[in-house]
Amino acid sequence: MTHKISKIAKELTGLLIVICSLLFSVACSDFLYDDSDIVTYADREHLVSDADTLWSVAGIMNKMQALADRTILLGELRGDLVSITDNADADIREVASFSIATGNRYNNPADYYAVINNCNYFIAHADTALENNRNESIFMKEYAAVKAFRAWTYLQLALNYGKVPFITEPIVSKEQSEQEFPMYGINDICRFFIADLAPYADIEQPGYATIRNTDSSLFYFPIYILMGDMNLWAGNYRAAAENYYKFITMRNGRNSSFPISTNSVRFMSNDSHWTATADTWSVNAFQTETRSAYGELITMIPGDSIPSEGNYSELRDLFNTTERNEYKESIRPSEALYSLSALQRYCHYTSGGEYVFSPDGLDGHRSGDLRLQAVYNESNNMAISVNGKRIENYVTNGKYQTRNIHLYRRAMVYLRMAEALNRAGFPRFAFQILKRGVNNSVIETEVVPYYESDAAWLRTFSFPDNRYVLETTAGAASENTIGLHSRGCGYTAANSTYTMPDSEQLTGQQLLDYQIQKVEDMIMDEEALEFAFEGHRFYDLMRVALHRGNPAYLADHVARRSGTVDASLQQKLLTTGSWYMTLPE
Amino acid sequence: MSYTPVHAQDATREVKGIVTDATTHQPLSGVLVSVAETNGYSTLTESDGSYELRVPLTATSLTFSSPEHNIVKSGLTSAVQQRAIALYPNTFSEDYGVKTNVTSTSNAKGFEFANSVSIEEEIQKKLGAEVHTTTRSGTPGIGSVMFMNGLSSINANAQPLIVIDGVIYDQQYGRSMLHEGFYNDILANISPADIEQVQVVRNGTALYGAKGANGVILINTRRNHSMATRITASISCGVTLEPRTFDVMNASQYKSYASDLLQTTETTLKDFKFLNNSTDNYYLPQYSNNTDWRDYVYRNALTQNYSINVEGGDDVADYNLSLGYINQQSTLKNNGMSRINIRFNSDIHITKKFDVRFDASFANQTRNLRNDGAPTGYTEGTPTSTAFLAYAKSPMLSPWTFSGGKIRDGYIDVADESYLDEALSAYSGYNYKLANPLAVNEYGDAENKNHFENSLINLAVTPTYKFGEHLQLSEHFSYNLVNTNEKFYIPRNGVPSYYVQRVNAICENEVRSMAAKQNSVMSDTRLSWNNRYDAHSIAVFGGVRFNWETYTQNSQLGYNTTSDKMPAISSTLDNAKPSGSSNSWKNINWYVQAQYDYCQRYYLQLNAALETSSRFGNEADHSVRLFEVPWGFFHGVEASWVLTNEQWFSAVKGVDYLRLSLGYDVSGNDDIEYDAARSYFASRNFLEDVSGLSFENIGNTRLQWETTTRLNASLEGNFMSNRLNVRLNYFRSKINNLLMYQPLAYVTGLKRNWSNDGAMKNEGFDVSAVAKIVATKDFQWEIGASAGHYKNEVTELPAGQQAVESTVCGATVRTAIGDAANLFYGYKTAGVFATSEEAADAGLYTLASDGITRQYFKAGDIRFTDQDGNCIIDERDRDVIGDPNPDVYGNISTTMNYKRLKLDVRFNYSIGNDVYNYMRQQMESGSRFMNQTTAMTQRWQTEGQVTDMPRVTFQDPMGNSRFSDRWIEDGSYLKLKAVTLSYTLPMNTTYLQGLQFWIQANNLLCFTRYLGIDPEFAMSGSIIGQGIDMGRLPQSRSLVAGVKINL
Repeated sequence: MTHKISKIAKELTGLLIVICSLLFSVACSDFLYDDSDIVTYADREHLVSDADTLWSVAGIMNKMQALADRTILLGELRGDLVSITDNADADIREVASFSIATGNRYNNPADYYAVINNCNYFIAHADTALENNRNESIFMKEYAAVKAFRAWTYLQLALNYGKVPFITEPIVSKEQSEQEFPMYGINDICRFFIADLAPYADIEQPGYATIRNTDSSLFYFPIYILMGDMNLWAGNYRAAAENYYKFITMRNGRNSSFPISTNSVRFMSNDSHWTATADTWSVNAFQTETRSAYGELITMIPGDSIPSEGNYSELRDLFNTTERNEYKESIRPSEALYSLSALQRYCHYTSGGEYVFSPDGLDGHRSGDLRLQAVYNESNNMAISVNGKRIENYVTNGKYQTRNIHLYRRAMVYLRMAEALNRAGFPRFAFQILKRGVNNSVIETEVVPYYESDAAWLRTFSFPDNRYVLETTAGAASENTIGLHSRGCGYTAANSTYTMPDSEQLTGQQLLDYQIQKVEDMIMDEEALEFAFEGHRFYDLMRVALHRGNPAYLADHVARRSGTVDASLQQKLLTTGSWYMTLPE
Repeated sequence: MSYTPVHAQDATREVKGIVTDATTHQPLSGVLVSVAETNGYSTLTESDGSYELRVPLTATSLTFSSPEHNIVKSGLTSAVQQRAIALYPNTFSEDYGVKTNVTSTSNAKGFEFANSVSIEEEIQKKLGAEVHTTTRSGTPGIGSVMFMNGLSSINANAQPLIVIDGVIYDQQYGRSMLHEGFYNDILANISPADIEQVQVVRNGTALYGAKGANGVILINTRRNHSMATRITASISCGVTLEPRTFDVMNASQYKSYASDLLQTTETTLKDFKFLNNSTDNYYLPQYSNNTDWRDYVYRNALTQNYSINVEGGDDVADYNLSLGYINQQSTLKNNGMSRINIRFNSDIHITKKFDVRFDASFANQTRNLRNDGAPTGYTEGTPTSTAFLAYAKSPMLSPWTFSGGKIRDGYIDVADESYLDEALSAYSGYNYKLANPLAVNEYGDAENKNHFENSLINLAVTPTYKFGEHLQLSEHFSYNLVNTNEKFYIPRNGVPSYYVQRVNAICENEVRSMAAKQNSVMSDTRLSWNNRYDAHSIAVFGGVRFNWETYTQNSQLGYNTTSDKMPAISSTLDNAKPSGSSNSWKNINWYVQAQYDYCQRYYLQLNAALETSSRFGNEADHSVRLFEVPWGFFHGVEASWVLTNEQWFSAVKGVDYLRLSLGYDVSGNDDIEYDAARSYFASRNFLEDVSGLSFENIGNTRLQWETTTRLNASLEGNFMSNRLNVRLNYFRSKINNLLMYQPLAYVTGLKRNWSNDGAMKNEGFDVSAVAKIVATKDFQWEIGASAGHYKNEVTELPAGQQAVESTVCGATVRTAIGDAANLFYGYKTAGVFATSEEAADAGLYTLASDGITRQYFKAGDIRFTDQDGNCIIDERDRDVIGDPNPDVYGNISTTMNYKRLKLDVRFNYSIGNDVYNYMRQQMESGSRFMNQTTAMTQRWQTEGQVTDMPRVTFQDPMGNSRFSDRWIEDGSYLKLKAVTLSYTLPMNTTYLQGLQFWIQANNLLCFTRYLGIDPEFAMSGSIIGQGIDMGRLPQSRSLVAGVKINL
């Protein structure tokens, strides 16, 4: 019997060996894990051809869309320029009161990492050496653009969460995502990306023309601006100023200019009743969404047309009264913004050739700076009937009339350059950006004489007079440069009250420090007037507070937004930890 | 006349006995007496019923069989004279199988009078306690959901594995159809008439590796067993009666309701055309009808079923060829199905050692379809389910057109409902108009409009080579193709234009089409060997099974065709959108089964399988790594002890057979989301214009199967001279590594993916007993009953969570540690506030969406129970309000035979299951302009009125109709499923060898307190969603008459 069994066993083994060798002549893993018709597996290369460039970049831009609204809201609601109305929902309330809970829809760090992980994958896999048959690099433009997307996203993360897991390699498995990552704060992030971006600063952006009637050239983050921002946050002021300057001089190519323009809101020169205003500012800045040599808009995140498409910006429905929000807006200007605006002195050049100040107490917030009234309109006696209800309150905010979210614009680059130059020790340079605008003559007469030891460095900022033409009362077509304050406060160049801060008691470094602080205050006010509602305020306050080493700077401003001091909020904000949202476990 | 023993070396002894007929008590001659489960020792009884047989000393049991009687087994005593055996005629159900049932498998056979479209109905009738089976709805051939051994998964598939003739059939459980309330039941492609036997395998499922955890149903189709050619033709026809319905308000009640509801809208208007009863109102005829819409939607339905079966064979080949056609109307007009099926099963004996089995089958099913049941919402369209409209459509309107001041009978009204326009047109994006169900039926009727077609082709070839008496090698190769396509069309005529939130547009109508294809290839190479060494018997088989599956589906959707004459889908339609999926998955399974028995007293069966799947993570937890891929190892051991085969026991009076079994099994559930283990990019539209590739998933490389460990104990016994058959099965199971859709770390940028986390356990039993009450020559009466029970308890949830919740049709279903999975979790109510004072005293309120404004409950609102006593009615006030799991379920049956007349009666029941009556929630929420049940006439209308029906409020701002115990009902029932009366006409002519006539009545009676129409329904085959009544077509009474002709 044992003989039988062993014979059978032999037969069996032989058979099994034959079957096994047949079955496993190809490896099991190839048999099991093959390709799909519908999706692209991360373990298979796909960044290998021209066709993959747009798809991959579009995929990242698609993820960027999720960040659009919150970039604005987190930056604005936590500042002092807006207040929320009774219509605001709980999430918005939480943001405004610095008590953002885990489930808040604006507190979702995964959305930032969605951009980052897609960028990381692209950066790790895109073959930048690959060239097409015209010997052009296939992926280089996209590569630079993706590096910029990633840098901007990390900057946002650090600004909103303080220290964040820093990952530059793609995560392609759940297991990888569960490891410990180094935690980077704003300075580490800036340091990394300044070095990371530098080699790609001069690479052109990709050109995909219009995508759904939207100018795609506005979808990118210019590396010089990013490097300017990163240096500014990191306290490398000269480098910051240089990078902003480089953006300005390179924006339109070599031997070109990118002046601040003369777009402004002003009373009509022949108006004697302070009622009629002319506004070339808001149209150019907020309603024009095509790239032009002298256009204001630099970068935006496009939004979808209807909610069901997935990336519909809610901001229109938060800042305006619309049918969708049943004519109930959630966000309105704060008392602090109204008073700051009213506090400005508007310098009017009359048809009679005189400079006069507009009076106080004008209707419709027309006293002081004109920019707020140009974009924000409230009407309380409308009579629209909706769902059988009578709608009386009607609000329009000119900065939120389109589906796209604007992030960078020209005035921002100039003002940040001013901030950097001021901090670098050149308050007079910064001041001129506010008052007259800059060209080489201004630099030579108003700046260089005060800082002889740095004359050489200052002269590297070249704004040729023939391309940067200062405004005169003549209003010639070639005039293209005004001080930023002039955008809402009339002829600032002639405004005798808008002057360079000075002190007779102080000299030397003390005077310089005094001037730097005062000019910085002026820059901050200018940023408030120019960028109200645009989502910069909280970060601007944060940056200045950090640079001054004084959390109270932020706390005092924010606590006073309603006109009176919110002591408990003030107290809370003295701790810098309260400025940030908390990352989930 | 003993045969010569094959094993001449076996020492033998002589046994003697006598065999009688249990009904006549007369001796039976010609009964085959043989040593059980052993070849070579058998004899036939003499004319006096006596037998003498030399049996091996190791033999412990004899088998007695005859063509007209059921098989009986009997343990051998040490004496020569064995106990007397009485055989029962095969009009009774079988007590014994040929082989010892080591795994306590349950069998069902005999579907010759089955008029059902698919086999699940028969499983429910015959194995209701072993497989907890619930018919989905009254739509013909829509199938059932089946659960074995409690709940075996929460999120993955929990339905059993279906194996037909050794081939695993993917049941497409998770695939969705275009029509609401419809499900493509793959089993409906197999005619029950072609099925010889259904086996329910609850234990020993480790053999099926990562697919066995939910239990296995083995279906064998008919093969030829005789040399003579036999032709059987069957014809049956029947009628299914219009289903019962519940009462809705009449026209004047509806007008009063609508008028009340209008007062809670924003309208400032006072006069409405439809409420003006003055005779000079031109529109009076348009609004003064009293239409019972159900009359236009339901009908008595006809069913027909034809089949012919030819079988025969010779030395060279055996074959069984069958052809069937079934046509069943649905009791919903313009709905119905027909199927044609062909099956050819053959066994070809090429040489003595080489056999080939060749099977081929084809089935084609077509259907006319409409949406069925209540809509899940109103924001993506308007209801077009005619069954729902039959209740919801206002009775004051006429189905016929209104023109020139009067109703024109016979001309279908195709104009949009307009009686509410004055009041509601300002509500943008609110769908308040209802379609005319007649128009939905009439203008939606065409093969290219609302139509379904499914084809299934199977080809299988199985060469088997016998190396000798004990060893054989076989290769089972099978190819399956399932082709499905479906067209969905909402007509323009008679359906109002409606707002679709998804596309943010008002749409006129909608077209969808879907085409899906699944290719399945299986190869199963198996080596088997068996032998017996004296008292030791060994049988081993092992092999490898490959499964290749690919499923591709493409669908299109578009709005606004130019007319009902142009129903085709095209890119020119508004918001046209294609979508699709493509899944491909593979499994390799190495398996082995070894069975050993000693003297047929002690059985030991070992099962083991090593399985890998493309759906496992590449570094799956608990896996064995071989050939660069992860393998799951599954194993089980079953042991049985047949007490009656012990010599010391075989003489015990009153006990004819007793088997005890114990088993332990580890099997898996591999229903892992297709690509969850892998990271991949998918295309998403950027600005609806260019496609952007971005990470769609970050793979969980450690993803594995769910592991089910099951311990079972069972007892089977025949008592009182085989008059009573009892089977008892008890099990405990633990399911580990539950597949859960869990948050991913935020650094992935993605929200969730599947992971294995969580555990639950089941404990339960099923018991069945069959008793032969009367057994006389002419009259036999048998009664049977079965009961199943399980208790499910979740023991562990991921990430330290105590509970997970999901929302289905407004219901929150909650799975919490310590409770069963999938409980209804909602608000408790305590009536309606009769007075303002009462409401003010309670001071209950909800918070508006701004999180600050308090909205107080007023007189006429529901008084929700404030569990935490803080006066805010919010999520924290919810509690468990229902459990869809039954306490006990099963069958009761009785069979009576009088001469050639046979009456078979089968009940099934379910006790203690709770139902969320979603249909009633829709029909009693009092917040939309839809007709409501007559209970709504009791609504709160005046201060001080005491009632349990709240006031009506447009759009229900206080949430009176929210998910609460108002909608939870006891779904217990006892249903008389089938009564069959058959008569066999004796005949023996050259051309005609037999005639059988039968009539069958189905769903005759249902005893229940449930307020809906039919307490038996299933909206989904997944655990989450059980017990939710969508108001789909109820099963109704049917009567079928048939004749079976043997040629």
